[in-house]
Amino acid sequence: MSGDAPTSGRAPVPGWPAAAPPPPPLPRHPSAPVLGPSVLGPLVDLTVRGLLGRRRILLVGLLALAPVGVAAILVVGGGLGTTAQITRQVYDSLVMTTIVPLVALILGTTAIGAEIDDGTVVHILAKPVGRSWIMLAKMLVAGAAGVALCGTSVLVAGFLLLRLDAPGLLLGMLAGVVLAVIAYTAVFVTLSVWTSRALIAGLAYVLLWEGIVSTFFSGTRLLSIREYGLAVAAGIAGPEAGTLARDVPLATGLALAAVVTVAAFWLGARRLARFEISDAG
Amino acid sequence: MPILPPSVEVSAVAKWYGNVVAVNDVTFTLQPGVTGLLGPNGAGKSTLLHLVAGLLRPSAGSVSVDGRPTFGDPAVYRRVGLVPEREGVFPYLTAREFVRLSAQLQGLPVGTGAVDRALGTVELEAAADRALATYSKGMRQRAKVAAALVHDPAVLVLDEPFNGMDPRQRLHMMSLLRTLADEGRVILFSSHILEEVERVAERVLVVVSGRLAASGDFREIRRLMTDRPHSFTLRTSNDRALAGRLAGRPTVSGLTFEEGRLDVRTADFATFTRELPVMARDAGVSIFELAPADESLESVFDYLVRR
Repeated sequence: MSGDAPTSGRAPVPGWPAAAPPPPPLPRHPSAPVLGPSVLGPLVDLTVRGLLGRRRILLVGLLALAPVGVAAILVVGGGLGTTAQITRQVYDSLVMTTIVPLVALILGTTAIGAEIDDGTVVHILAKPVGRSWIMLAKMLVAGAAGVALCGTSVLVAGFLLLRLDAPGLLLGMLAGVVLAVIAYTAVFVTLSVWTSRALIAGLAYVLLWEGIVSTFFSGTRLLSIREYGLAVAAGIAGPEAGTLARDVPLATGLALAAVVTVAAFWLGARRLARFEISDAG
Repeated sequence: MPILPPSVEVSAVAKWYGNVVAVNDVTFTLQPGVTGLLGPNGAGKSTLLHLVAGLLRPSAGSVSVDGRPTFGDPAVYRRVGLVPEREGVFPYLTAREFVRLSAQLQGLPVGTGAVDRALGTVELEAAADRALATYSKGMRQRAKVAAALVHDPAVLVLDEPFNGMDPRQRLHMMSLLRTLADEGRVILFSSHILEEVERVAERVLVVVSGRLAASGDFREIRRLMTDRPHSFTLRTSNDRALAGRLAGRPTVSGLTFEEGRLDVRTADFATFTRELPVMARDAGVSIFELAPADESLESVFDYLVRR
């Protein structure tokens, strides 16, 4: 390469001012090379607006409210058996089997997966920002949105069915949902930085693993987020748990959910630190 | 204004995906000033820029800014600003919010005026409070430039920055790049359009099929491109008469005479284009059509690679 002076060989562009007025200098080498907690606020804000700005949030909202609709129909139409038993069935076979995992799946994969898909993730990655803080912001927002949606839904549906007849059961169901949503969203956010097929992989986990394998083979229950949620729900509901009662104790469910969540966070942050953008051309 | 001169070194770098080699054994060093990365679509320009910007892990070789490898080190973005090619911007943010986000993620203190300054640099103040979803392609491009400039980076990497810009915006962007370079920055931008590179870059890297086909001063490469053999196709009122005259000229190295068409090859582009009208006039021949037969950019690159 020849060493020309920087100004040589360049004609001025007609009709344009030669230079903008010089801006005041900025600090060139700020003390912290990689930013930490201070970026959490802006990242959370961005993620929230990303979730709200996409149409699929409406779908998620409708999905999350489905149990309320089912409860309303049951109340109006009058069900079979005792109300508490119907509530347990709705919780076990609708809320925890379908609604919570699907809501968490869509929220979790939207939080960062959508940004990876449309290329906007570059604007976050090309910044001196610690990767674990990006991961934390995504998981916080997806988790909080899921807790708000599914928590409200299970409370309203439970109240419609139970009134205040079984407050322990209501509280237990709420706790189970909150725990499951947090663990699920953490796993699905991480899944979307590991694979571009996170939605399919997540569906496979929910439908095949939790839906079929865990139902038939009791040994694999310890490897199912749904079971952790149910264990916590049953543990808190106490004698009101009824058919929700599990052979997994409350403490085990809590501990395993915590392990899964922390592991997901660690794996996600690790992956993001070595993340390669894919639109090469 | 003083900028610590950055050093950007790309050393024997390669990037492959399975069996597909995107970039192969590329070495260069960037100096302050504007360097154009020129090559046809699919040549590996984006891959190379992303390697420089630390968003891809080199399969072999190394890329470093100020002596630090760029991949897997977010601290490098203190010194590097990236304007990606993909239009992806957060559609729900306004340009001001987008640039402010960039400032926050750079850890800039609030109220330094950096956001307004960056918006002013790309002349987006008037539209700054509109959502990016309502922006034209050229405006989005400028918003991305503002976001990349907000922390005053010493190294600015731009992927096809002129795409989607109208001529006025294009001129403005060119003048902006020069101004930034004159302040001591390293500017690296990619383009598949020769004229863009010619107008703004001092140095050029030509990439073809993932390899560095040529590098150096632009005028040098331009001369290589101009001096190579050129082919023209002519349609005239009397091909035979003109062919007779052309055959006697030393600048003409080949002549094919076909029904209704005359193909001419020349080794001396400049002299030939001066001589041709004179000969046509002397022979009393009207030229209906004169078309370069191989002027596609690909053929130019092809020639450079074969050299």
